[in-house]
Amino acid sequence: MEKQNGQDKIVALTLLVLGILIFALTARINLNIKLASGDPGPRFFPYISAVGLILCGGGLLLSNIHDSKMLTLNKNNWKNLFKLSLLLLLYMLGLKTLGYLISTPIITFLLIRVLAYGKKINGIVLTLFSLLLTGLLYGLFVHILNIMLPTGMLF
Amino acid sequence: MEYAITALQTLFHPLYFIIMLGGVILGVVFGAIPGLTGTMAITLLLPITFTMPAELGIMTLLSIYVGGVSGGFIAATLVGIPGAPSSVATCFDAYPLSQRGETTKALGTGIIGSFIGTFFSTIIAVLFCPLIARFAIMLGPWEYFGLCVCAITLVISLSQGNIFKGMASACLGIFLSSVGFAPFDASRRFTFGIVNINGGIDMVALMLGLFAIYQVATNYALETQELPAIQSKKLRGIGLTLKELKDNTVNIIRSFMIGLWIGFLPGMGAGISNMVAYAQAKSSSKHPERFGQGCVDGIFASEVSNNASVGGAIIPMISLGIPGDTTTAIMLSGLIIHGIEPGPMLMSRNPEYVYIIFASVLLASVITLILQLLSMNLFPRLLQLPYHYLFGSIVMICFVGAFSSSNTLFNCGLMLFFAFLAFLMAMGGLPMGPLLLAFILGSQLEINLRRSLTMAAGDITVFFSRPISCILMIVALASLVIPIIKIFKQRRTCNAGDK
Repeated sequence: MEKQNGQDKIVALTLLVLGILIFALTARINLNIKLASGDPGPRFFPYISAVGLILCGGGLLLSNIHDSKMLTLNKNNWKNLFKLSLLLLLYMLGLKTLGYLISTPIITFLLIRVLAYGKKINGIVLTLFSLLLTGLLYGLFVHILNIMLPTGMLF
Repeated sequence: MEYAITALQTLFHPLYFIIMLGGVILGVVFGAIPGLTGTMAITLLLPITFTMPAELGIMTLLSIYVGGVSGGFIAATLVGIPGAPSSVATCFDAYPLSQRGETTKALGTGIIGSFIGTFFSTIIAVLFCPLIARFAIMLGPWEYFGLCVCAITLVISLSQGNIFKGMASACLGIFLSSVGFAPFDASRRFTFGIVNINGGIDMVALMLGLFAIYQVATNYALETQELPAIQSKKLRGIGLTLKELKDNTVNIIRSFMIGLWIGFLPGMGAGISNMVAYAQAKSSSKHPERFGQGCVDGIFASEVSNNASVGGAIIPMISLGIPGDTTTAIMLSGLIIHGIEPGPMLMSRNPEYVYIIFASVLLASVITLILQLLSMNLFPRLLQLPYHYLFGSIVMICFVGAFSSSNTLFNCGLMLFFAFLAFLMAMGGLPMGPLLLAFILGSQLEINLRRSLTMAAGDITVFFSRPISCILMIVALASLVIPIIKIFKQRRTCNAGDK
């Protein structure tokens, strides 16, 4: 059995800090009405989670056992994750400014290229797929399910 | 009887039937492809079912569920990689059998085993749910609180890794469930002035983030999208003989009972039942040496048991409103979104929905059987679908789904936040199951806790003075305390070894 390493200790300390933070925030919850006798009130439940997190953080530190089930990434994995995150945030921005119909085909095109790890993809097929997916989702949500999709601020 | 006939009439409405067929196909596809799961398919389709009539929404989600559990054996057979955790034991014999050139027999056994498990376990659920619901009506808030606590602690104790991490994950779920207006007094909690979360955290955004975006992001980041090449020969017939089926009668019944019981218990689902049933089949076999070399008995044990867990998991979900695992927790939230509150009162208040649920699972299992038998030739092609197109489409559906659940882009941001949280949790080794279960059961837990304490004038011993709640609380405490004692014992042994 291996002993805790730095990553294990960070997890334990994060849980401790998070528990203390939730505890402090819970203490600031305002009571709207006078509570019935015996009712522990709206703070009780969040207090349970805060105390639980503090105990778990403490327990992890005291148990001093390494957990081999933790996800670890190498430099390349981080690079991939960064690229994908950037695209997803860009899509959020695109939905807000350009709206669904303009930003979706562009981001779908870019996203599939990124997800293919630079493999050769037929540009025409990819363009058609991006347009088709955008149209299919638009038709399904707007025309069949009557749910509006983002229209954007600029157009 | 009247409700059963109404349920059948609803199911055989042409449009409903076609949508169900689509649901089964989607479930099988997601269940078959490693990296995608039936749970992910249910999460993705949840927003699309919002505007559907409740019965159609339920049917769609259930058909994906049944297809998803069944489809796991396809990749296990063809490439030796389980499509879902429920098919891990299927790999042991189905893949070697397929490698020997008997792919049709391996797939046929999986298809028949899946059908037997799902269909007959649902029949058992039909018989048992009313009995359990009749008993559950007599339970008070103390017992309900005990049941919810018990379900969460059992999931924690069975989640892999350190027990403290499972507990921390559940505590995070409890915290997230307390965001927004509090029950009874409507006090605002942890909203920080954001009106979008006054009513609580959106369940769809949370699930899409935790189960879809996170999954796609991790698979992409770790570059685990490539599958081994498949030897695709022409597949004809079922490949299984009647004699082989007959010889496996005892094995099938035993595996069925294991799957049903494990599915019924909170925290244990198809992911565990297939391994237990496989081990049992091997130890009771007259020729255990054939296991692992392409033995039909092993495929039957795994596939019958994991699919029997479907019926087992439906029993507590319908009669008590308590989900057994992550997938049933998502199914439960889907029912709640459609205005159906599972629990003992569902049987008396909305019996038509209960019969629709049962009939949908039964019909979905028949559709799955026929569909898989007819489309066996397409299975190898299914696993050759380009991942970049699949994942790209999933991401887009997630965004549209998150937006449509509340008509605000805030939800898309929330979804990305939860994907990030899932990623941080995975880096810290925190399991996702306890968080989801605690989040879904959180409001029930708090309502029953506050109701119990108000009725008992704040006396906390009330949970130990009523027999059923006392037993449940003892089970819950034991399931947490025993693993903690084990950890500290291990630590002592480790320290002694160092000295």
